Amino acid sequence: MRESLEGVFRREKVRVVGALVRIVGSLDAAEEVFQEAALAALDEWPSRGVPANPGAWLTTTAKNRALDIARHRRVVLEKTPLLVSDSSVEPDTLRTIHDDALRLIFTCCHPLLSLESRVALTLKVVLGMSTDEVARALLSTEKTVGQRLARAKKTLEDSGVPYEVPEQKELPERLDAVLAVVYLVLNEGHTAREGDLVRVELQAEALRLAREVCELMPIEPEPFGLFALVAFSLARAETRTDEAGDLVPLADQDRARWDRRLIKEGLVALSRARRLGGGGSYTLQAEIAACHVTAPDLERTDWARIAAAYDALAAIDHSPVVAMNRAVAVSRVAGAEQGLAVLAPIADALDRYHHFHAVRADLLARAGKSPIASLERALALVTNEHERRWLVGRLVAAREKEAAHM
Amino acid sequence: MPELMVLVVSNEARDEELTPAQTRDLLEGHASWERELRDASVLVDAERLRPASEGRRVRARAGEVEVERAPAEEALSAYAIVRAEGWEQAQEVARRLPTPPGTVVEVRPVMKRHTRPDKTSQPGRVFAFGVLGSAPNEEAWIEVMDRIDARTRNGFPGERWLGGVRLEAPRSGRRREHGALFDGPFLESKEVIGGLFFLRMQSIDEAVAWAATTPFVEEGALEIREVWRS
Repeated sequence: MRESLEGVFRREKVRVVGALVRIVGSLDAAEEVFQEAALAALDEWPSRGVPANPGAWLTTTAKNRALDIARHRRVVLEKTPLLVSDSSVEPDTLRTIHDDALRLIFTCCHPLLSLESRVALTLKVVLGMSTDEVARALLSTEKTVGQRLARAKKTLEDSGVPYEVPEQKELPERLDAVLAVVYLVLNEGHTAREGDLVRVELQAEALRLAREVCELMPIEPEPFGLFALVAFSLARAETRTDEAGDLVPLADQDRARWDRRLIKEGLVALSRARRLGGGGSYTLQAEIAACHVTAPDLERTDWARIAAAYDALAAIDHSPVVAMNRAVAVSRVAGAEQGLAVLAPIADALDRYHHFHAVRADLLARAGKSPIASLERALALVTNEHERRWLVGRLVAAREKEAAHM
Repeated sequence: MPELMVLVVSNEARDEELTPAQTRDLLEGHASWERELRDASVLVDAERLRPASEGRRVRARAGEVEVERAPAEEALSAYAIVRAEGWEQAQEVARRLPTPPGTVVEVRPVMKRHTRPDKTSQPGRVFAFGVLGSAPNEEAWIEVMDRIDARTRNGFPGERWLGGVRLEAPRSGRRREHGALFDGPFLESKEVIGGLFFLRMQSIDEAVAWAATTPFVEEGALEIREVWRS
């Protein structure tokens, strides 16, 4: 039942480092102190036993170390660091702990940083991954990620980004920047660019991050909408590929194997998002996903409700990808021809996106037309080997079918 | 107007067999039941609790603290405190709540209450602590609850306190089982709930560590369950 020490460090890192940045004044120094405290724990816990409240132990150990450093620096530089006061030795109140964690999340996800840097920094500092793990998560090398992290921390320091929770008027934009990070981690876990198509562990990290944001901002609807979306995705993750790692389309997934606990988790979060007035993009996407995970099969899916949610989504999100997905819902409600009509105006915008051609191929086939040209175009663009194999399968089947009719 | 607490006692193992569509319908039914009560200004406070499989039961036997998983067969999964004119109205409220088979709905008069409906609007995790007592008969059980009440009146950590409620004895309540309503029976050799209070805690471990130091677990037991933001 005991979790691993590494698990404890990962879970506690956001709160401990959150407090440390306040004391030592920089993310880099805070991470170093955390590392030292973690090493001290590795030294002490195996022999003396894991303390009843490991988070408090880590915080106290790390804070004492941080205060030493800060005092030392004060002597050396003969100036008083603004952030340090001896009251920092007192145990933090719950309010301070929550504020620290939230400050840290908002800092790592600052819009000043590129989305890629935000993601790398969040995986490392908030979710407690090692640089090597971040590199693997982002399909990059340890060196590249290390450089990216260093640059990101420097950018934050150089531009003097204050370590604080944004004010009310800034909040929507800043929260968007945080949720975009969760969403990117989810997407990378949902359809990886290369290697294993579905990466369950990354989706689990996205869920953990979303849960953290929900707990810290419990009256904002969108974090709950996004949490639900991640939970629904994770519930299906294991059934989206076969033994060979190839894609299994929604129609063929074994719905009995979908994780019912996670589905319930998502449904409860979605109901909170609704109650808080949610009509934002993530909540609407979760509404759509909820229709899929509660349907007994593809035919008995509530396509009308899905199409309505897509209409609402298209009104606030003009991205062609939303229009593309809306086309699929429309085709289920009104027929494949209607779906193709929704696709037509976005064909140029999505011409380099293999999903678009795969969707178009599907609608063409259902409308009794040849999907071959679209499948060939999708194949020319696809990068993931498992998706490629799946598309090849469809192309072969389409060619055989047309040959038989000739 | 008198207040009553509607306690939804679920069989979690059975609930896990529900299809996602059934779960969705039940959740939506529960949400609209609550909404109607709120619109009618009947609802005082309501929460859903996370699964008992994540919760703990803490008690002390001869000075030794025992911690076990909260039982999942009869798990408090949600509650609602309502204002009701009398039993007829309260029973009608309980009857309208959609529940899956195997669920018991218990209605108990509130003895005293100091709860706040904005518990889950606060950042951080919120835990519900069910106050349990076991006794050979109802009179003895009431004595246990009185003793706990007297010993714990000022024993809550201030910054974390989010209110609580004490219930009248089971005899003064009603139970809805298999669709029918019964007088509230006193169940011997069982730990019977006498109240519920709420504290902000960082984790279940922290909640258990706090619980182990309190008179609650000497006189009876505490069932600790996280409040589910819903």
